[in-house]
Amino acid sequence: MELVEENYNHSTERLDKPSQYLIRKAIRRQNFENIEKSLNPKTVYIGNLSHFTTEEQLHELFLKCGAIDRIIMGLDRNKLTPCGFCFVIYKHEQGSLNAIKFLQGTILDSQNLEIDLDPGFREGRQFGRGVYGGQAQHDFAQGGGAPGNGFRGRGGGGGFRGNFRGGRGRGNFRGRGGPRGNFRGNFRGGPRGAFRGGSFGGGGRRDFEPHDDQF
Amino acid sequence: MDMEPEQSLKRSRDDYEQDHQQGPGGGYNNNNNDFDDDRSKKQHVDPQQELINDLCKDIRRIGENANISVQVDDLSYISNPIVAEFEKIDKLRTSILSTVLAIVLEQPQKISPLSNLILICNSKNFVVAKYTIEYFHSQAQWMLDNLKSWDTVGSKDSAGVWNNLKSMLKFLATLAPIIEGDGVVAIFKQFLMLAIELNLKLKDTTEKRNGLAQEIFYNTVISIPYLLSNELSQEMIDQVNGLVDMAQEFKEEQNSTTVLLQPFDSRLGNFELPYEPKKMIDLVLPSLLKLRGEDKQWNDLIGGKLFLNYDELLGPIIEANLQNNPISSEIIKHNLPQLNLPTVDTLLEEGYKPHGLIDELWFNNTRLLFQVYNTTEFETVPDITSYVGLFLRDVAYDILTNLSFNKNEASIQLSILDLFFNRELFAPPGSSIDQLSLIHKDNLEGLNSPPLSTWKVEDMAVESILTMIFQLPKSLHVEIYYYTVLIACCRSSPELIAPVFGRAIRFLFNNLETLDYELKLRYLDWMSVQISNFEFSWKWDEWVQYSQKFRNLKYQPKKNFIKNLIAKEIRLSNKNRIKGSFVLMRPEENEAEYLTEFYQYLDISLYENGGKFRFDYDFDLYGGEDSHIKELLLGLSTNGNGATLDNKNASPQEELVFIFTNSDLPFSNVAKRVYDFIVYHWKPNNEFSTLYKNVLNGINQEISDSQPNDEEMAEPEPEPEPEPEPEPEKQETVETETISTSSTSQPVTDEAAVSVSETTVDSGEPDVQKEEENLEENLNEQLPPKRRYNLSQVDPIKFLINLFFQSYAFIGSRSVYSVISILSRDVNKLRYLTGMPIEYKSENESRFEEIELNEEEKDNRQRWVIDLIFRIWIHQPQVAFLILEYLIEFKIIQAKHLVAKALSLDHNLIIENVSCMESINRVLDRAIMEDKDTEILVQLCQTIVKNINDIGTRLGVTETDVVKITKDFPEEEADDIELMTSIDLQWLFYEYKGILKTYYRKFSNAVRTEEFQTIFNGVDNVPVKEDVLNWLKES
Repeated sequence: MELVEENYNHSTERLDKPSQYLIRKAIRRQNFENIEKSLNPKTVYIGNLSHFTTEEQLHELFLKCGAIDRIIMGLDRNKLTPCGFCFVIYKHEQGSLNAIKFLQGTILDSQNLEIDLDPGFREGRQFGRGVYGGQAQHDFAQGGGAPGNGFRGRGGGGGFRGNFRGGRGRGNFRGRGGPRGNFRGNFRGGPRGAFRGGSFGGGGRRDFEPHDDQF
Repeated sequence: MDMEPEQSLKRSRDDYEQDHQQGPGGGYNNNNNDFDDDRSKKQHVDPQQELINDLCKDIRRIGENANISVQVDDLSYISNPIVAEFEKIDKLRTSILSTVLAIVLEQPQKISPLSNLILICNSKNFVVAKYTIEYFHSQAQWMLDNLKSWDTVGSKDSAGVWNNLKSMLKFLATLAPIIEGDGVVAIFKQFLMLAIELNLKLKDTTEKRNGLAQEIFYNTVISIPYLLSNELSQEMIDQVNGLVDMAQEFKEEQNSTTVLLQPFDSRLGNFELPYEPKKMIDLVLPSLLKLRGEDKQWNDLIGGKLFLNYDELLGPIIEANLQNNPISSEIIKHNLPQLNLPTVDTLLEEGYKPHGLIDELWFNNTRLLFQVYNTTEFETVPDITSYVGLFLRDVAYDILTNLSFNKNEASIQLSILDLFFNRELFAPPGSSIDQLSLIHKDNLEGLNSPPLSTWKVEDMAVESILTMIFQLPKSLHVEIYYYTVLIACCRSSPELIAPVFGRAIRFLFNNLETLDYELKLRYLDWMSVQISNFEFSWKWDEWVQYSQKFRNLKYQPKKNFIKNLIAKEIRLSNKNRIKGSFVLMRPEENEAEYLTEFYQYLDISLYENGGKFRFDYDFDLYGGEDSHIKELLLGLSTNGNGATLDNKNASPQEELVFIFTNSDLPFSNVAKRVYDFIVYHWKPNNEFSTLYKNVLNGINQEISDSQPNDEEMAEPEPEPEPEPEPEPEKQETVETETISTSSTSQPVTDEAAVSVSETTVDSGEPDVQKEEENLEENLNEQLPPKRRYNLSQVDPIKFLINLFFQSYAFIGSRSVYSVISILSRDVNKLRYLTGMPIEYKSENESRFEEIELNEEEKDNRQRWVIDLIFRIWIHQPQVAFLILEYLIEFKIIQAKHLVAKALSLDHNLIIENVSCMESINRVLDRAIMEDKDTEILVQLCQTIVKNINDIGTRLGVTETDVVKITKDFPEEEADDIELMTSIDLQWLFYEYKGILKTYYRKFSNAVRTEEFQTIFNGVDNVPVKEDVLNWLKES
């Protein structure tokens, strides 16, 4: 259960944790041990591939995260053609963790890659300590040597919920959707659009506009 | 205060996250709800837990609100439950404390708002602040106590103890108003003293530089201004001035050069450097002195000039809280004891070196700052010599280093970095260069009083990330992390960020002539990944001129870059796609212009005219004498592959040509037997030995049969044939690597056959598919008499090696990993062929019949393997190198042969071909770093020196002259081949020098300095030699 619990050791979530898919599956089956035991930290699953993406292309991209042992293409059972997923097996654990952290959502052949720890649940595989990556922060709060455990409180206490979440609209806490209020310009004569006028219609091309640049 | 609505201007976390949810990048792992991930289980969450979750989530987002007064209200609001429950719920307290620490370390830009929260809490219930201060103190002490074991205790991907102490020190400095006496200042003093003493001690000894002393000094000095962020009494100002005075005792580094670490190299004065790189350690104290001002009153800092000024908002709240505080209506101050710092001696003890990314960077090398955006006439990023410039960069590096576990968050935080500091520091986010130059113009004309900032937060963010990418000697995290942070930045508002990238790309392109060899590779890598994520769009039209002008040059850096960039793009995509990206859109005329200039680069063959290379290679293999064989081979390459000989659209499969089993060619019978043997899933070693012998006999027999004086036709080999296998078993051969469970497939053999048939069908030759059906009969039958060939020049061993290895390669050609799979199946058999030591896995593994090979024979065989792999994948060099890397890993060939090949002056692959450069880097990393093979390093350096000398001779320069590079020439001379050859040689000369620098920088610790010195002394050209020998003094 520890896997799905937040440990407050970071200022934001880690991307190299098991996906919601895996966690939900584990919750459904009530076997968290399986996640821990069965995940092979050297293997990553990659989904949402274009059917035309080749092993060579995958190699090209995933090699940037670490040395690859091999790539196993998922094939259509009947047609024996790639069917949109593969496994990349790294030589070292660091490679797969890097892949999960860094390549999630990267585009290959116009597709956003979906990357997950290997959900194969095969027996005998070891769940690496690295799923949460750096262990130091772990040790920080929980490790015996770390001070900070000594704070003792008086325990218990109810009634805080209303106290905190009560009568206040939270809407504006992060509601900075509006424009930033420090515009001081006297330079923007025309509509802003004029500066970006050069963008190519429709095609979604990014334009490196020459008039925006000094070169 | 008015501002036009800007759809694309993302300024809040919600904007960013919405983006991530809906837009690209929203993988299903990409969960944006920090804690309540699974809504279905929300009802089960214990209310205490929920409170903790909510609170920590709010704390994590502290300071992200653009509106300061709302921000302070929020702080005041969330302080209520903290104050109420802090002592009651243990888990709440520990969670909050560890969250606050995590934010300080991972997102130090939030230090000021975080400390505001503590100040507010303190005015309500001093216990919160007390615990916080104690917690930070004890954590700092704990880190210091574990310095020496930090490599096991600490996280591998964090910045390190000393760097992290810096952020903690900053945070404590902001709490100065609630800390008793001069508690914080005393800790600053401790660190400063430590740095000064450490540095002095080292000056006594012979060492030039103490990286740790420099880091501690830098960290302390850069944190000093935080002491004045909340505490502005004259007493504090005096104390801070005392610190600054003390800091001046730190003795600056001697004027040592940093050529090895500089991103640009003038090529012995041939070029101007884009800027003179500066050492961080030299900048920090002068910048602080400047910030302090002549009158030492810090007028450029206090009053919200750097840190946000919360006084007016915070003051009344704290005041009101104190009024209502039943315990004390005065601000309660807390004790902050000094830290127990390690002594200078323990830090200098043999064997202590810091662990952690930034700590190691300081320790091992002088830190230089990388600059990208200093090309406009006004500043778009703060000057690196100013305190604010150093400070903001430092914060950005901390974020990038410690937030590597969440690239999206790193990108968001860097994109909104301006929110956490004085809002006047930066121009409005998203301002274009055009807009900024208008501001600049108005500033010059005095229309803006005071002048408005032209700093661009996007430039700041991108430059910080690029600094990390182009960090020498190596980047802290793997480069792909930084690439993806940049991609995340760009995704959030492409139309605003794209021009920022465009300027960086142009800056680097414009300075390719001086850019370091290794950094050129990173630039290629970054740019290819970057544009592959954005439809491969780039303004290629800008580079047409270079491609045209340098059409007859190979090694000119710009030309070389264009060629290799396109090769890398193709590797990430396909040729058609990339071809389609060479367009110039003219929206006003509603048309597209195709930039055909770049089509030539779609052929990424290892050697120019790959088809011809392959033909020559094959003809040579068959003796290079027989005109009929020549015709046959020509037919094979022009008919079967004719359309695709150099076809830019050929599929990788089509680009492979396997000729041996073609019935019209000599040795085809032997070839078929080899093919059948290998295609079978596995056979014992002794059978392989027998096959080897038979094949060799067969080849020799056929050669001798072809001799004119021999009238008798060859008998087929008398030895017993290996059993031909029934079809279904063949199918299993390489299928192991796919997930397919189908048993009816025969992809490998089929495709192999189909591909061969494609190459043969047009010339009316019987296709191999049919032949395979007849194979069993053929093998045991007397063959019909063939025509007599002239095979006198065939090297039987070379032919045999080609036959075996090419068969393996072709059988696995379905995909790279099926080749690797089949190679790994037969590692020992392949080692047997190349004369490498065989490692039997067990007693039961059948033994080979030994063949006696001398070293030269072994070397020849291994060199042939390299050549034949190049021949097979001539059109896909990246695959060729990948396979070769595996052959090295499997100990089938030795790395030194590949290195020699890469450095050969015939093709200078290590300079010309990006796949080769990358491959050699990996091969060397493994050989030198993992296998501790220093011989290969010596060989590498010696070969480079020899190449430099050879090129120097060919250029005909005297030993004392600096080799001049012809930078430009009139258009009409572009076809003067003699001139172009000489310019290419000039570039080669300096490129080899650049490679030498790169590998020396990388592996200088692997071999003794004297050994390098001996090698470097072998350089003939004196100016180069002197320059190269100077490197030895730097490291």
